[in-house]
Amino acid sequence: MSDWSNAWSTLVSFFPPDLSLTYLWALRGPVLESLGMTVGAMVLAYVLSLPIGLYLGMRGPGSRPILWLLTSLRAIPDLTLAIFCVIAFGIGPGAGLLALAIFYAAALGKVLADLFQTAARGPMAALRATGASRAQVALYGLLPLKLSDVITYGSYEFECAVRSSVIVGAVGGGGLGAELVGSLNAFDFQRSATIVLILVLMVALIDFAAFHFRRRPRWVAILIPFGAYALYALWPHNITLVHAAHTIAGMFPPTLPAKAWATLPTLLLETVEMAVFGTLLAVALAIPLGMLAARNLTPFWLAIPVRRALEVLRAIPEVVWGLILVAIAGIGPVAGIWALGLHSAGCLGRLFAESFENVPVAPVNAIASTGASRLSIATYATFPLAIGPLAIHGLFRLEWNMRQATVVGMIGAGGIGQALYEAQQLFFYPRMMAYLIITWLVVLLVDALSQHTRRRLDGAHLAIEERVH
Amino acid sequence: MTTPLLQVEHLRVQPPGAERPILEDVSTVIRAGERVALVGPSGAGKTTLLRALNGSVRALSGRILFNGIQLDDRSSRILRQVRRGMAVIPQKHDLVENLKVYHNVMAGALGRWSNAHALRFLFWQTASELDEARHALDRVEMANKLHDSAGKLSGGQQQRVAIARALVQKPLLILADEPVASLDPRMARQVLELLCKLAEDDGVALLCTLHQPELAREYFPRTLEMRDGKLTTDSAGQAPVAPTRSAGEAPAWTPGNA
Ligand SMILES: Nc1ncnc2c1ncn2[C@@H]1O[C@H](COP(=O)(O)OP(=O)(O)O)[C@@H](O)[C@H]1O
Ligand SMILES: [Mg+2]
Repeated sequence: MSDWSNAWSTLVSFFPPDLSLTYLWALRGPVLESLGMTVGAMVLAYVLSLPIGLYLGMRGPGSRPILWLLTSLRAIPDLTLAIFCVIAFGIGPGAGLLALAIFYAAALGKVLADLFQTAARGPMAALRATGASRAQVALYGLLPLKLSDVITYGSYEFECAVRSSVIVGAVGGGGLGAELVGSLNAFDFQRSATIVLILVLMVALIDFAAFHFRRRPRWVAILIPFGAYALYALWPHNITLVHAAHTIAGMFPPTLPAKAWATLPTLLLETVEMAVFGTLLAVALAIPLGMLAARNLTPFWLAIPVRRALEVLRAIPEVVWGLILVAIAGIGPVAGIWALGLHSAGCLGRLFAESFENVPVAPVNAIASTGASRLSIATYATFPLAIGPLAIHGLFRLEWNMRQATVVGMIGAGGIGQALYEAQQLFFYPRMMAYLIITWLVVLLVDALSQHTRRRLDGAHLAIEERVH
Repeated sequence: MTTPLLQVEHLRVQPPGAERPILEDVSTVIRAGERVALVGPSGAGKTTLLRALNGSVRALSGRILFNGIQLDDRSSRILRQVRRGMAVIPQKHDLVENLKVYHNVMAGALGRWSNAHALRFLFWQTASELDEARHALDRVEMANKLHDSAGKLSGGQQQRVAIARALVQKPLLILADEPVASLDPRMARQVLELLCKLAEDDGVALLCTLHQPELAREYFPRTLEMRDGKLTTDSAGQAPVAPTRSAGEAPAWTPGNA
C-alpha cells in the first residue's frame, strides 16, 4: 500500500508545472535545439529519401536490395540509433540530429516507395508510351500523382520526428530530452511537467503547420533554409570518423557472457509481455474514450474535450511516458506497460472514434427507428459494425508496441531493452552490440510476420506481365 | 503513302499463368499515313494489340517492326525509340490530373527532351514552349484551357487534351483506343472527324479501335476485324497473314531514322 501512496505523492509533486518566466526563458535554448534537430534532420531525410522513393517507385534495377536495406535500417529504433550516435560522435544535439536523420530517411524512403508503387497505372502507362525516360515518368507521373499523399505522410513523419527529438535527447542527444532527464534526476518534477507541456504544444504546433502545408504544398519550401541553418549549426563539428570507427570497432565482436544467454529467454518474454499487456491496456482505455470522442455517439461539448485529451496522450511518446512513470512507479515492467498503454490509448482512441463515425448509416438507423436509446444503439449497432476496423487497428498497434517495448525497456522498464541500456552504462560495448543485434532481429521478425499476414489477407492476383521499362 | 510503316508478324500474347493466348498469330502491315479501323466485340483483344504494339505488353512470340526498328522490350533504348514514334490516345485519357493542361500536353515531348529539360519545364515554362502547347490545343479547340488544372476538365475535354498530347509527340502513327466508346452518336462523329482530319493534315498513320462497324466504314478507308484474339478480316483484301521470312533477311523497306 505504501507503494501506492508513494506513487501518488510523486504524481502530485508534478503539479503545478513550473511556469515561472525565468524557467520558461531558460528553456528557449533546449526548445530551439529540439526544433532545429527536427527540421534539420527532416530536411536531410527528405533530400535523401525522395529520390530513393522515386527510384523504388519506378522499380529501377536493384530495387529489392535497396528496399531490404531500408527495411532493416528502419527496424533499428530511434532511441537505439541515438545511443549509437552518442557513443560514436559524442554527447550533444549533433548526435541526436544524425540519429533522427538516419531513422527518418529510412522510414520515409520505405513509405515513399510504398506510396509511389500504388500510383495510378493509366497515366503512368500513357507517359511511358510517349517514350519518356524513367526519370521523366517519375517527375511527370509519380510525383504529381502522389503529391498530396507525400505531403500527408511527410507531415505525419514530421510530427513523429518532433517527438523523437525529445526521445533522442533523453540519451544524450541534447535539446528538451536532455533537459527532461536532468529535471527528473534532480526530482524537480514541476519542471519536468513544464517540459512535457511544451512538448505537447510543439506537437500541436507541427500539427497546425502540417494542416496548412497540406493545403498549400509550396509553403513546405520555407522549411529548407531553416533546415539548412540547423544542419550547419548543429552538425557535430568535431566529427572524427577515425574516433567513431575506432569506437564502433570496439563493439565487435558482439559477445554475451553465458549467464546473459541464460537470462535471454526471460528478458524476451518480459518484452513480449510488456507489448501485449500495454496493447490490451490501450484497447481497454481506447474503447470508451473512442466512443466518447465519436461525434455520432457523443454530444460535441463532451466529444471535443475528450479529443483534446486523446491528443495529449498521443503527443507524449512512450519513452517520455516511461521516464515519468519510472520516476513515479519505480523501475520495472509496470512502468513500461503503462507507458505503452497511455500513448497507444491516445492513438487508438482517435482511430476508434473514426471507426465509430464511419459505420454504415442504414443499419444504425434501423435500430434507432425502434426507439432505442443512445446507449442501446451504440451497443446493438455501432459497436458490432465497427468491430472489424477496431481489431485491425489493435493488431497494428500490437506490432508497433512489440518494437516500442524494447525501447521503453532502455529507460528502465525491464526486458531486453533494459539489459541493453545497462550494458551501455557500464561501457560493455560488445555486450551492448549483442543486445542491439538481438532486438533488431526481433523487430525484423515481427515486421516480417505481420507483413506476411497482411499479404495473405490481401490475396494474390495474377495479371499480365507489364513492362515497366 | 505506300511505304510500310508498321509490320506485325505472328504476334502472340499470353499472360504467364493463362491457358489461352489473348492474341494469337496476329499479322498485318500498316503503311505510312494510312488510316485503319480495328473493330471487334468487347474482349476480342483490340486494346491488348495496341498495348503490344508499343511494348506495354510483352509478346510471347512474333515480331513487330516499326519504321525499320525491330521492337525489343528488353532494350529500353529501342523501346523508347519506338514509343517516341507512336502516340497513344488511351481509352480513359489517362491525364496526370494534378498537373496543368500545358504539362499534360507537353508530356508528348518528353521522349525528345532531356531529363533536365523535363525537370525545368515542370516549374518554369518558356513562352515558346507554351506557344507550342497552345498551338496543339488550338487544333483541338481547347486553347483557352491552357492554364487550367487537368483534373478540372470534363471527360470530353480531357480526351481533347490527350489528343493534343499525341500531336505534340509528332508521331508517325497514332494509336487511339475506343475514342468514341462513351460518346453519343453526334459527338462520336465529331471526334472521329477531328482525329481523321488531324491525322490527314500531319500525314500521320492512324490505327483506331472501334466497336461500331458502320462508323469504321464511314471514316476509315480500311478496316481490320478481330475476334477471339485473331484478325479475321482485312477490308484491304490483303491476306491477313504476312508472308513468312527467315529472321536474317533484310526488311523489304528502307529503314527510316527515329
Ligand atoms: N492484364 C490482363 N491480364 C490478363 N488478361 C487480360 C488482361 N488484360 C486483358 N485481358 C484479357 O484479354 C482479353 C482481351 O482484352 P482486351 O484487349 O481489353 O479486349 P478489347 O479491347 O477488344 O475489349 C479479355 O478476355 C481480357 O479478359
Ligand atoms: Mg478495349
